[in-house]
Amino acid sequence: MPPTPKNYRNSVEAELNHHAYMSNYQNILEQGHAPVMTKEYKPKLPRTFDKYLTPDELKTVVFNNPRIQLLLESMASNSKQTRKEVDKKAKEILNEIGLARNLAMIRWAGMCITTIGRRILSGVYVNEANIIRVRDKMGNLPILYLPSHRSYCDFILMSYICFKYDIEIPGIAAGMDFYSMVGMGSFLRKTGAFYMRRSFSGDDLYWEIFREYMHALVIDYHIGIEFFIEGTRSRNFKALVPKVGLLSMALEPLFMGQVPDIMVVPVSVSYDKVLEEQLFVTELLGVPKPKESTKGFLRALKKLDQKFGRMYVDFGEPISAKNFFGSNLDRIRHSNVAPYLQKLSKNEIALIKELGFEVVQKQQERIVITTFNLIAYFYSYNVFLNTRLSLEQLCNGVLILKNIFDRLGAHVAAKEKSINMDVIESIEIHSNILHFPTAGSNLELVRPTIQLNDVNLKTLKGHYLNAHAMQLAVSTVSLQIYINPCMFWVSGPALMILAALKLSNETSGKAFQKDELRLRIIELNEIFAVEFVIIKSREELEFIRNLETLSQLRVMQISDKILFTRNETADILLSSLVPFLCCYFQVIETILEKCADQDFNEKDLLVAVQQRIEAALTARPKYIHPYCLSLDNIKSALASFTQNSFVQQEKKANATKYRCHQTKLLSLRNNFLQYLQLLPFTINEYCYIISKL
Amino acid sequence: MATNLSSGSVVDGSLSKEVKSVIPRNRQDVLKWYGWGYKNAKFSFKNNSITFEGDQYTLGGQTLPHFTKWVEDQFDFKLSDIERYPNIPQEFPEPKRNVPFLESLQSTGILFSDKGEDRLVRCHGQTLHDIYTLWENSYERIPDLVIWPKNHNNVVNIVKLANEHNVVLIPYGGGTSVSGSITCPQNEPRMIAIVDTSQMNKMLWLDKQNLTVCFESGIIGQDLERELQKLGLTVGHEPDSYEFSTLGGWVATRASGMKKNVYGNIEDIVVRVKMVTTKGVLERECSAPRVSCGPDLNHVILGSEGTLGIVTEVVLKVRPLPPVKRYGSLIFPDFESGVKFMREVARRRCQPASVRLMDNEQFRFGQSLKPVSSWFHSAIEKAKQAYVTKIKGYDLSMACAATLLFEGEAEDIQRQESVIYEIAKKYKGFPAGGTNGERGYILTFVIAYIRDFALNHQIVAESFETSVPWDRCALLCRNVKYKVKSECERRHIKNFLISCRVTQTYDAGCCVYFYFAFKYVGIKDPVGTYEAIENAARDEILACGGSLSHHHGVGKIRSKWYPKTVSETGVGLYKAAKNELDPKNIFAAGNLIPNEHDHHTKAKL
Ligand SMILES: Cc1cc2nc3c(=O)[nH]c(=O)nc-3n(C[C@H](O)[C@H](O)[C@H](O)COP(=O)(O)OP(=O)(O)OC[C@H]3O[C@@H](n4cnc5c(N)ncnc54)[C@H](O)[C@@H]3O)c2cc1C
Repeated sequence: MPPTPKNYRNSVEAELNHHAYMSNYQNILEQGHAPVMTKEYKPKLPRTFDKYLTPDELKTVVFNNPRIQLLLESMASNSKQTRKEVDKKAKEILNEIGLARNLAMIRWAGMCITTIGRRILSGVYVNEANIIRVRDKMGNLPILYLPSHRSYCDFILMSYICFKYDIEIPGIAAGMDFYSMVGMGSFLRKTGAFYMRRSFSGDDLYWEIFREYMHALVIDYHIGIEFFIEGTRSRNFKALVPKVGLLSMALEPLFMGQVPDIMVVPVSVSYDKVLEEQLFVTELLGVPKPKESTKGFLRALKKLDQKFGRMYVDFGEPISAKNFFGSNLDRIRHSNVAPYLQKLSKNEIALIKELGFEVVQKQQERIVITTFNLIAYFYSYNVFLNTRLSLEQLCNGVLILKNIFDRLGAHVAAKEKSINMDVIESIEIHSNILHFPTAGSNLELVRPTIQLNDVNLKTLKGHYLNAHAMQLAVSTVSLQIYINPCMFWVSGPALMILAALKLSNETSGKAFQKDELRLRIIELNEIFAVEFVIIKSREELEFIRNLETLSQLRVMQISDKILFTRNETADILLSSLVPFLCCYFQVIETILEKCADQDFNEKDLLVAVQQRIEAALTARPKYIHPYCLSLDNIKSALASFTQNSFVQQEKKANATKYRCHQTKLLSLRNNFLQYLQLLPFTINEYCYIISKL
Repeated sequence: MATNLSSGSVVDGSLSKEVKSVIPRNRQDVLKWYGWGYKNAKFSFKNNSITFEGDQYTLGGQTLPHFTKWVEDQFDFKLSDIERYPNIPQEFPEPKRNVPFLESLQSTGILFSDKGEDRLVRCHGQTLHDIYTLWENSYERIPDLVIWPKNHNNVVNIVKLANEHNVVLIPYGGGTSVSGSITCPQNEPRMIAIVDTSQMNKMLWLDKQNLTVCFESGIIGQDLERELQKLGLTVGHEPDSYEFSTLGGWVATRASGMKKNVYGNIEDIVVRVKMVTTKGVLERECSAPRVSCGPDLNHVILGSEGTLGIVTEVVLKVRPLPPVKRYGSLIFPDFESGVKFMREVARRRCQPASVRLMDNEQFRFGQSLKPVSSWFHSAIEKAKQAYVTKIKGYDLSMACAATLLFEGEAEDIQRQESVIYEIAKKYKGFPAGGTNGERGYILTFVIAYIRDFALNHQIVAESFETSVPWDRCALLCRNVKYKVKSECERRHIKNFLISCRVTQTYDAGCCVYFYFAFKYVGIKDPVGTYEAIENAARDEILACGGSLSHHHGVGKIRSKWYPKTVSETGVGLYKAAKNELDPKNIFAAGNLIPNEHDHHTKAKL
């Protein structure tokens, strides 16, 4: 059950006292606070049993699971393999998956983290009050830790922190890319990982075994489970639509009545800067990520003389899955037949999906908005206004934004008292993106030095961009990914302003009905559901909340009708949508021009859009933003058009084909055009700035 | 209301197993349309001897000279090789068409047929009356449509549409009913659709930990057992009709299997059952072994004889296949000693999987079914007969036999055997070997073919059964035989056979099974006559403390006694349930409650 508007506001308000909130954070790298890796480790266990299974016994439990036995039996009788051979195969799979923790390795790794961390970070900040709240609630329920995922450091950090706070280190679902790294695979396993393949399709045995392993972890094992609900590291630092696969595997035992409840803990991990930053940027532009290799990892370590600022970790309030599902959870329904013979219904999967969204929501609420997020935002806004920023103006701007974000309910790292220091320090850390070229000069984008000499053309995900486009793209995408974390807070209000702008325009500035606004927003939400992780069931709640916030910010005057008054706050909020509006518009244009009456696949479209933008960049065209080159953006546009049937999707054996619905798409194009025309910004200024660099 | 209709199944469909049945959808391709069993299996008279054909059975291809003699002696006539089996009709009563129903049904994609032959072969069960009417081609009313649902959801759809359009539905399993329960009601003005369950025969799941299995209701006994035995398991429910009768039929009639002592009767084996009614799905929502939750509604479904809804899925207990199976037989000087033996076995609760006691007529009849074999073997048989008469001094015209089937672990069987033989000794019984016992059980499935052969030679034959408290068992057998004899004499029927056996034992009583046959040459209305005599016998049974039925059910032919058996209050309760679950009476097979308007049993012959 999603929270009602009332208690939602309360929980946000409760934390409006940011000063108090941020002061709960303790830097655990500080002398005297770092975990003593040699201490006796007697962690609090999430569950107590009469007898605790060893990791090997856990594998045996899974192997003996009747469903697995059934499958092995039928495999042996339906194929040429003998029972012995299939059993062996199953055991190999279990060994590939299974936990095998080693405390000595954990201690050693922890010491490394402290040492390296102290060198490259200015601190790992943990919200102590909240982690202790979680620890106090543990003891008799399976627990799922679901952290946001922005960096591989998430893996390491969680275990380190658990060790520090005497919480049992959870089993961490890790991708096979680590498994295949020499040495790394077994290292991570020893520090708590278990492995999962990315694609289960085609291998029934693997899938079934993994599923049962997950069940056994939840039902029979005494440690928590950690996995990333977003499925992968979000390359663009925006929240990703939650994946339900692992979550439903983990929750199945609750539906089947095998555990009384499951405690779900959203964990928010925020970074001033992640190690993978530039990798992500090039990946977003279509240069594929190098296959994880130990060598690559070591090379990455060399980079470690850079500064990465702070990391923040906050454990959200544990969600009782049972309470969340409320009366929708019908366990009696499943009590008639042995659990292993059952599957969840579509409705139940939908419930789990809602919980997934809730978790992402809760993660986002606690992701710290860093000073650089606000700097990037404010800089970008000023590009649209075609104004330059001195340090002083920048600091002022950051404070204006801090004010707005405080009101929206975000946790902002920047402090008014030390704003100058905060800003300078941030720019120092991100000097590869923004800098003040000389003392007293204005803030500028950095012209990136990129070598893409070893790019393998065959593995390119999109179009092979020319150097000019690439440079432009790298610098703007680097900037944009730091604006993106703000989107969680501003996309809702911004979309509302966009709708109001249009309504106001249609009524020549007069007030309009609330319902009209609501209808427009529903329409926009449908288009941007994937981009901004909008779930239908929260729509009304968000509508009310945003309306209220905007009225506090004096953007809306609410009587029986609504009057929209444009002010600077409105413009600031609105500016955040520009890259997305441009991108969606360009994707539509490309489809209509290139693929109007033929089938196309995803790659065709990625290449076509990138080509189009590349060609347009030199010509100071309308409604182009270099962020349109980001493949993630194009993909989510396509996903949105498919979901809303502007484009039809046809899944074939090994390829997915698309075909556009021309008349529908045309009307969407016109809609977007109207929105774009109303924006009070000079959108193509970016291209100009870069070309001057 | 029907909440579980919408919630759908929780079971992972990928675990279900399609079962290839020995009986095709077009059942007449493999089964006799005019009688019992496989098309190719039958008794016939050739070269002066009766032979049995049918490669499905061990007796197949054997010549039976003793049996030939037994028939000729018993009914006092000479067999001829003329065969009078009927030809399948080419014309059929026009089907009634409820057009809106047919149109909606069409749109569901569920398979159906209104071909005459499909309708005819499903208009009847296996009572003498059913078969005789077929031979005479005198059905006035046959079903108008045959529908083949493929799963529970199909059935839900069918029932919904039928209820909307007021179409009568008759659930049809194996058509082996011997109570008239499946026989098409002759005076039904509405369209009648047969819901043939044969295409819903999947094994939905198997739970080895709890030893339970879930099948769709249309699976026939032999398919069910074959599939489970492949996995080293058995349900162990073996009614004599189990080659052709279905799980749904067993539930709907409260069937009883030969090996109930080990595995239980159907009501002991069923854990859960799902029935689609016009008001929704009735199902006990719990798999726990026993519950105290008000009257057990499973028992509303069990024995409902197709009048309340359609059984779609059934969860059954399974058992590990017994490692050892052994037969035995006993001979007693007379029937009453045999009954005392049976009573003692029941008192000591030491029944093997099956123990059956045959009276003298059946004992001799069984002996006669021994095939000819080498002279050496027949010499031994002769010697054995001599031994039996001479050495023990038993009068062969009095002696009776019991057959035994043991199943279980070797040590357990050994123990059981010694107890049984010890008890037998007390009642002057002595062991007569495993082969005799085994033949008794093998013949079980062959005996049903005799009826068609008999009819061809103008002998009508039928069985009827009852259950009775121990103290009245011997008395009931005696009185019923007396009653049948005197009824025959009254009607100048000279050549007849009345015989009985005790087929099941319980703590408080037993099941008695009668065979009755007579040669009807010179009798105008043989079936009417047969039924009149059987009715007289049933009155006698009831008077002797016997029940209306131990396992065949009430159906139409015994419905006139139903009110007496369950009391008027009971009838009221049944009617209230019927009214609740099926207010429009679309499940109008007309079983259990006597139907004033339907004179099926008096249909023109
Ligand atoms: C040779 C022979 C031997 C027999 N031996 C035995 C025996 O040993 N023990 C014994 O108990 N019986 C025996 N019977 C009787 C008969 O086989 C049983 O009554 C059997 O249970 C009927 O099953 P069926 O599938 O053939 O049902 P049908 O004859 O098709 O139907 C019987 C009744 O059940 C209803 N029905 C069938 N399927 C369903 C369903 N899915 N849902 C709701 N109602 C349904 C029908 O409407 C009908 O009222 C014997 C019959 C014959 C001919």
